Amino acid sequence: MAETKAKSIKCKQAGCSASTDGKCLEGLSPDACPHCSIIEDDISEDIVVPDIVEAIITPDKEIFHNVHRGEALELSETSSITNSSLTRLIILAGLSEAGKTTMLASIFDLFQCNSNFCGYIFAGSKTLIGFERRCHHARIKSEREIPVTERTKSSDSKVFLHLKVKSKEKIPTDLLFTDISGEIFKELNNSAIESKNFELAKRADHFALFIDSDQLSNLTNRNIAKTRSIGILRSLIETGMLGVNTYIEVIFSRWDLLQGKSDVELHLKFVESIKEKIIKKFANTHKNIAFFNLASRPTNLTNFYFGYGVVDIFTDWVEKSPFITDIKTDTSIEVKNLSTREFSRFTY
Amino acid sequence: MKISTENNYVLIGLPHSGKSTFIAALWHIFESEDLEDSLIIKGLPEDSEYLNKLRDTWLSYKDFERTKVENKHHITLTVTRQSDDVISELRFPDVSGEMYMIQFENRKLDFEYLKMIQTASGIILFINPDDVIEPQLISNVNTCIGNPESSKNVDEVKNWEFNDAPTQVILIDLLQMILENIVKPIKVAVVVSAWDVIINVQNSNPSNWVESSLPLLFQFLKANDSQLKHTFFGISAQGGNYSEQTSEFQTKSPSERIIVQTEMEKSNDITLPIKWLLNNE
Repeated sequence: MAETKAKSIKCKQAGCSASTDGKCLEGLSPDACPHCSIIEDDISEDIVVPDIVEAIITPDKEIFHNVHRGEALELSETSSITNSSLTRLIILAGLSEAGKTTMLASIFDLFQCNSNFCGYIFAGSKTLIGFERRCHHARIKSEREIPVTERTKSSDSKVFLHLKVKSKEKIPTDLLFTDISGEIFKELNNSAIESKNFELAKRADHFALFIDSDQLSNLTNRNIAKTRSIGILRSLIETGMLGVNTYIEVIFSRWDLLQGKSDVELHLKFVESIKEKIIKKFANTHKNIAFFNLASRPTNLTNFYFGYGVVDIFTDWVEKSPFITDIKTDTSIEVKNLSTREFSRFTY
Repeated sequence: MKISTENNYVLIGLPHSGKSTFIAALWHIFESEDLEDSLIIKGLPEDSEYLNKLRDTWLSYKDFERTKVENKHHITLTVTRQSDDVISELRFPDVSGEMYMIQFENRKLDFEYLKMIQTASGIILFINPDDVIEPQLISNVNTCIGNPESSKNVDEVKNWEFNDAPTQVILIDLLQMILENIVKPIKVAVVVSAWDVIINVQNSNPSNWVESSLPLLFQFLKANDSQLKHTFFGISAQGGNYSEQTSEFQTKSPSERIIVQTEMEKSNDITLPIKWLLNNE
């Protein structure tokens, strides 16, 4: 009777399907997983092989091991990052086409094209493909003549982009950015219930509100842009979703377009009125409010450079967190209130 | 006589990155014993047909055919330094660069490769300067030629495909796949192949070239140095351009046409990356 040796997987972990399809719940190879054991079976010719034969690994049968997808992450997928380090969560908020995705793409391109970016070096990303997709339409490979950013879909639940950066002598910092459609923020402004459901904001280290300066310098549209944008902030603050220690960055995006208009002084005064209103309305409770001018991808590189204004904002994102009291000494970080493992319970 | 442990290495590189040419020239140096300080072969392998075939192509100044995905050649060599009696067994597969593109696109590693990286003590990462895809921005071009009014409609533009990704992004992603599946640090010898192309136009060393041409990869390696201890080599296993320099090559010994540049020195010793990987420091 001829005998052949084949291998089958047995796993002790509840819910693991490794014994039937070879896929380990932990994402490990069966020989690396502590719950799995690989058993050599003697299979003789006259043994009736049951259906489980599909799961038997023979040396010449290829079974693959999945690695990280590389695309933008769903909330449930971020735990592999948030469980391993105190991750900065940065919510990019604002109406549609306010420049949220463009800024993310620009940050990635600034790392790609320079030996460092504002003193930080790139240490990794679980979402390289997600970044690449967002950068594509501003690259020559897209065969476009002018750079654009594809509009973020409101139905997409894969909205987290990951970047790990490192500066001298410090341990790397993980950053998770949201790339959420402007339509969602419009809904938050329209509905207190929707705002109350936006629990992710409670965990945000930074809440970056993008206001389109091109709209602010259009006399017909500017009041809508102002009211709607401040309305997003108001909804989240009044429903208690934005913590008092959260860093709020109000970002006047596409700043180059405002500066290129006639009557610049008039538009600058309008911008100042927005700043005053935000300070007057929210600074009593939320102390960490700052304002920035941004031109992530200026149309005219004569007066503005690629990534204008990104440096100051990015540095704040990396260095400041309301959940860390002593950020200078990375080895003895004191975390306030929130365990990183709690991150995954938040929804948006 | 001291026998060291087995040394499994993984050769990583996209298509046409110079992996097979490197193996051909390496085999020649191992076996010919032309160079005084190089590693040499200690006993012929059981099957050297594939290595001899590669070497014949290299010795006759012919370009290599692309290695096919289904053809994995497992190479096992026993080598020793000429200066001492330490014997090392080297194991490395010659795999297709296409396999790495498939990994990048399909997000899966086959178990054979997984086992290989989990038992590897070193990686040789190949980059061909002629094939580097850079993240070229439209805005940089428009600065030079002026901003055009776009006349293209949506149908004429090209959507993103995996092979549009810059070379540095793909290589980082491949290294990240390895990092998430190993528990011990691993050494990485970064080999800039076709180095003759670089030294003909600029006075550069390999690390400076990687820093300026693939800055994201350079940053990634630097930031992860504790897990990916690395160094850089500029290597031209071919020695130059066959269509222009074959008659010049024919006047020299084959070993002399190999160019190897480290941060410190220039030589013909293509075994230097292996020596560095073998060194336990």
